[in-house]
Amino acid sequence: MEGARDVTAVPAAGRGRTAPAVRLGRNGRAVRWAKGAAGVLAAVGLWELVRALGLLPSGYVPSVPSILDTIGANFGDMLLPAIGDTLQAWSLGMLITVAIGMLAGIAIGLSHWADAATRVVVEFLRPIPSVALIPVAVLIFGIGLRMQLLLIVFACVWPVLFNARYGVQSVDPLLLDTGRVARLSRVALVRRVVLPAALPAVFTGVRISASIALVLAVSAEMVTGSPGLGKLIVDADAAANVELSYAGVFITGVLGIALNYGLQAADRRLLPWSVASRGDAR
Amino acid sequence: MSRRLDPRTVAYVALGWLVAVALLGLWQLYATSAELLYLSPFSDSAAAMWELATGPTLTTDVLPSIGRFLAGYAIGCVVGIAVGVPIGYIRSLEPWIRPVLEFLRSLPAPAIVPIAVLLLGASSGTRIAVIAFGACWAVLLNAIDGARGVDPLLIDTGRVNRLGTAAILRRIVIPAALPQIFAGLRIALGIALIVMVFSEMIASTSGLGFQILTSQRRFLVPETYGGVLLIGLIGWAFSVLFLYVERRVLSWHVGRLGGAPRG
Repeated sequence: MEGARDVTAVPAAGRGRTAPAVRLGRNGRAVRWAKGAAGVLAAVGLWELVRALGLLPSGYVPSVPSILDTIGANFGDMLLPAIGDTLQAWSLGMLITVAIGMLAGIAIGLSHWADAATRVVVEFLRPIPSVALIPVAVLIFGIGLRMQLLLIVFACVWPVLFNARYGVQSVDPLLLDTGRVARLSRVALVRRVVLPAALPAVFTGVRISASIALVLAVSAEMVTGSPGLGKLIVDADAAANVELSYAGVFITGVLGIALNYGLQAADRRLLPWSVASRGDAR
Repeated sequence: MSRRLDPRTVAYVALGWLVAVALLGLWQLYATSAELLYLSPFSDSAAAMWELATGPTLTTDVLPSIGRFLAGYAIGCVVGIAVGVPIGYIRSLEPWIRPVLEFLRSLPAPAIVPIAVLLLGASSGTRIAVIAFGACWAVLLNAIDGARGVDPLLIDTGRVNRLGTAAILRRIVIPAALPQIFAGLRIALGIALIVMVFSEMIASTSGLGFQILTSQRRFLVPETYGGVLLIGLIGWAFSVLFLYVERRVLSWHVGRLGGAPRG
């Protein structure tokens, strides 16, 4: 969700390929890695300390090894299918989201009239917290994948749409003029100038949406009992299987990180000209 | 901004409202003529919303929900800023805790609701804690990045003027990081609202989230839509309020840079 910063950096998109601003040597990277690992160990230690001191009811706070054991014992038969179900809703939802968000965002970005016509509706729809739509989605579609998809698309389409609009509207006018001088048709101008320049912004939106989509997929599963990680967590909780409940939450967090890093890597791969690909200059 | 109205701008605004009204009309017409089991007309939904917002549910559900939302959001923001700014200021600290923060940030806040209920009980305090948990990460990470990005010259100027660390943080680092912190606060606002609604859907007996879920399960269709409308309206009101506050607080920033704020 660090998108806000990325977005403001977008106007620079469209310049040539640039080398990453900060290159850590192999040594520097290893040291950074070791520090991170030490931090993780310290967090685990803190967790065990809380347990040992009895700050929280100990029956409800399982030890880290027992959580890991539970993950190992249940990975193939329970966790993996749940991950699969959640990922199915996530990926289908993201596919629809990107298709709708990108097309709508580019159309709105290109045409002032389309922008004006949709503005009021969009401004009213966007602040509706998406989980509030779970009951409505259940009314319309019943319990299942379609209900989840409706929720995911409704919640996730906005970041993609707004970033696409922003990306299109902030294309360097010089690029557009150059295209016009080269006598590109309107379609060619959009496809060969506007789209490449706007894609990095679109991708930032996609990354923001990806984490929201995971939240929505899991939330819907928790409330409605549609199969997936959310249902696994709630069921484990109801069966007083505390370790499995924590294991589900842990796996969900890991899945969130994996998706985020995966998309970051894809961003760098697919859009080497984007600002996000220029390394972490933070 | 000039006072004179440009006819083109007027046309744009009018068009936007026209489309919105047309869609509401379409909803009304479609729902009344098709008589769908799962869609109540806009008029019935709006009436149900009015009932929810003005009837006895105002004090039992609506206001407590808003109270929990505000309390959780405020706590999350304060924690995020109070922890994030020093972490960003002490640059060497960041690599040690980044992976842990990234993991905690990636935990979908709804997923921890059952565990929080288990640990802390099904109380208002638990829900506030979960809202705060959900809201704090966006603020925290933006505060870290914002504080790291402060021009070192400003900090050195503070040191030369013999400001203590607390004064440097309060008078230099926080103001300089404020635009980015506000970006985090804005994301956190949406998250806090989501977690508020969701936390009231699990092991709860009151609140807006509880109301809409119960309405749906009892097949009270207008009440379900009415509840969603009310939650949307509350979300809209808070986002408008937020933009107003942000513009006031950051006016110096936009003015100084002469245009688009940059993170």
